[in-house]
Amino acid sequence: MYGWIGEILPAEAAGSVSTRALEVRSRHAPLCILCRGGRRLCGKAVCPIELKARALISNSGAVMRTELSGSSPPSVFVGRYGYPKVSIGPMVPPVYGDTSVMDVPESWLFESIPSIVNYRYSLVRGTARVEVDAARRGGRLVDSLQELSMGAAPADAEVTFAKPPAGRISIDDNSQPFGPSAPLKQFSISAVKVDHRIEKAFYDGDCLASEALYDLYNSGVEVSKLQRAFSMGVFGVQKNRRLVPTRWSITAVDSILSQRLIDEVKSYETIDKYQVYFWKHQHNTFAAILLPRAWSFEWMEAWFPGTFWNQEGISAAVEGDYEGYGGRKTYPGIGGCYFSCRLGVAEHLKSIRRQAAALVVREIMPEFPLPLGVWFVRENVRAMFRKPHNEFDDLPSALRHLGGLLRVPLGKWISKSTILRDSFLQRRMDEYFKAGGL
Amino acid sequence: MFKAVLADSRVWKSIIESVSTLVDEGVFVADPSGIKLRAMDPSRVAMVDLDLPKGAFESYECSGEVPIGVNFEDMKNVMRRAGSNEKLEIEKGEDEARLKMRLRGKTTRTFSLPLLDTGKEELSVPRIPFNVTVKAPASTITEAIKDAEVVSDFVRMSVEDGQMKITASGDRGEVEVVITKESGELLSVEVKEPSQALYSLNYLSKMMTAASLAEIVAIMFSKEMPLRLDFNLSSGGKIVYYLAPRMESE
Repeated sequence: MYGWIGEILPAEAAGSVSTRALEVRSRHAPLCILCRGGRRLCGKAVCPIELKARALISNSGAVMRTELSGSSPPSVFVGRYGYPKVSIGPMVPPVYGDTSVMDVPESWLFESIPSIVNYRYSLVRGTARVEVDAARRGGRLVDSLQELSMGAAPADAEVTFAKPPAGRISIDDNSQPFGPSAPLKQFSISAVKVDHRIEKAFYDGDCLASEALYDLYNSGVEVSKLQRAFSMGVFGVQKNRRLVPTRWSITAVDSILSQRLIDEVKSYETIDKYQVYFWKHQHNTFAAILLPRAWSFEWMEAWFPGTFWNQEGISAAVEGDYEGYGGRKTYPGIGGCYFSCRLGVAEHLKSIRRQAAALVVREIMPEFPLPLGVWFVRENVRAMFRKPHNEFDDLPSALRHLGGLLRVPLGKWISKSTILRDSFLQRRMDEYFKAGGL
Repeated sequence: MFKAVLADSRVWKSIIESVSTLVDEGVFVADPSGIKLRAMDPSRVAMVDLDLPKGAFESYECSGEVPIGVNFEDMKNVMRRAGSNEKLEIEKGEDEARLKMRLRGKTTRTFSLPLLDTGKEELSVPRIPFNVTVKAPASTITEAIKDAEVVSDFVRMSVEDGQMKITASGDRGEVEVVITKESGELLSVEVKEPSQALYSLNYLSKMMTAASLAEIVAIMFSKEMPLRLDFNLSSGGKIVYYLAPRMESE
C-alpha cells in the first residue's frame, strides 16, 4: 500500500525515489487508505507515516546510492538481532559540517517532532556482522568504530555499501523512526577528535564499567555520549569487554547511573512535605508526586485511545512498574523508559540532597504522533524537575492538586499505583509506639 | 573492652543474614549481660529486635556499655569466608574505631571492620495487645509463605476454631493453607479473640530467614495490629520481628 505515499508527497521528492523502495505498514490500513495523510482519521496531530516518509524521501536522493560521505555526528549503531553475533556500523548523514545535533537527544526536547524524525532518517547505517567479544579482540572496523564512538566532534566519513540502502525500508505508524541501512563494504574516517575523558577510561582495562560510567557522568559527559561509547564496549575490565546492542546500552547506562545516584540518595534525610511537579510538552503530560518517605520509585504511563500502544481501547490504558527501597530484580514490563525516568528522579533528589518516595506519571495524548525513544522520557522528566513545585502538608491535599492536573481520573491512578495504595493501606511501626496509645 | 567467642561461626553468619534482610546498617549494643540490637527497616514497616545473652557465647567479656555500629553487607562478606568447624571471636578494644573478627580453624584469620557512627535513634519495643498466639515449626510457616507468594503480595493470617489459616488472593489466583493441631503442625494455640489480619509477604519472607536458627516460630497478632514473630535460637538468644499490618482495601 505505498501508492498513496506518492500522491501526498511533493512531486520533486516523490520523483527522486522509487516508492517501491518503501514498505508501508499501518495498524489501521483501511483508515490510512481513506485518509492519505490528509484527514487525520487516526486522531494524531500529524500523520506518522507521512512524517517518516517525508523525512526519508527528502534524504533519499543523496542516500540511496552505494557511496556515501559526510560528517558522522559522531554516531554508531549496534543491532540486537542475532546476539551474540550482531550487526554494527557507523551512522553517517549525506552532509558535511557540524552534524553533532543529529545524535544528541539532550538537545532535542524543544525541537519539532518532524525535525527529530528528520535527524533519524538522515543517518544512514552501515552494517557488518561481528561477535560481541570483538570489542576486546579489536580489528580494523571495530577499532575505528570504537574511536568514532568516543568522538567529541563530528568526523568526516566515507562509506561504500554492498548495495544501495534501499530495497526494503519499512515505515509504519507505530514505531520509533529508524533510518535506512545497507551492508558495509568499505568504511574510512578522517582523524577523530576523541573525548579525552572517555579515552582515558578506554585505556583503563582494570576499571569496572559502572565505575567508569559514574566518574564520567560526574565529570559532565552527557548520558547519550556514554550510551554510545558503552555500546561499542570501550568501558570495563578488559577481559569482560563486549559490544552492547544500542537499545540495551541506552537502558544499561540509565540503569547503572540511576542506581549509583540512588545509593547516594539513600543516605540523605527525607523531604519534609509532599511535593507535586508538573510539565506539559508536545501532547504529553508528566507529573510527579514526591512523598516524605524512604526511597521507592514508580513510573506509570497512561496511553489514551488512539496512541500507539492503545489503538483500539475506549479508555486510557494505565501501566506501570515499581521498586521498593531494596530495588527490583526483574526487568520492568513497561520497558527501558522506567530507567530513563528513574535517572531523572535520582538526579533531582541528589541535587536537593534529600530522599523521597517518587511516583512519576505520564499521559500520552492521541495527538502525539509516534514514539521517539526513551530519551524523550528522560529529558521531559529532567525538564519537569527544573520547574517550581507545589508543597503540601498531607497526601490527600497533594493528590487533590495532582488530580486537577491530570486527565486520567485520580481514582484510576490510585488503584493502579503501588506507592499510593501503600501510603493509604500499609501501616508503619511508628504508629504503635505512641505514648499511652495502646 | 568487649570480647565474645562463638563456638560455631555459622551461627553468627545466620544471625547477620536474619538482621540484614531488613536493615543495611545498625548498632549492636554490648553490655555485661549480652548483645542486643534493635532496628527499623528504612520504610519503617518492620522492626527487628535481637537479644543474645552472655550464655549464648562460649566466653563473653564486656565492661560497661559498648555500641558497635556496623554495615551488615560488609560483615556478611566477612562471614561468607567462614568455614565449618571455625570459632568466631568478636573483639573491640577501648577507643578503637575498628571491630576485630577472628575466625579460628585450621588457620587463624583476623578481619578488621570499620565501625560506623552510632548516632542512631533509640527504639523502644511496641506494646501490642495480641489476641492470638500460635506456635508452629518454622519450616511449615516458610512453606506456607512461599505458597502465598505464588498468587499475591499480601497474606491473610487468621486463627479460628483452633486452626490457623494462611490465605492469599490476587490477580494470579487464590491459595489457602490450613495448619491444624491434628496434623501435628500446630504446636500450640492461644486465642483471646478469633482474629485475622493482612501482612506484606515481601517482609514476611525476609523475616523467615531466621528459620535457619530456630526450629519453632511463635506468631502473635490481632486484627489491624502488627504481627510479631519470635524465634528462640537453638544456640541461645532470641530474634523478634514486628511487622505493621496492611489495611483492607475496601
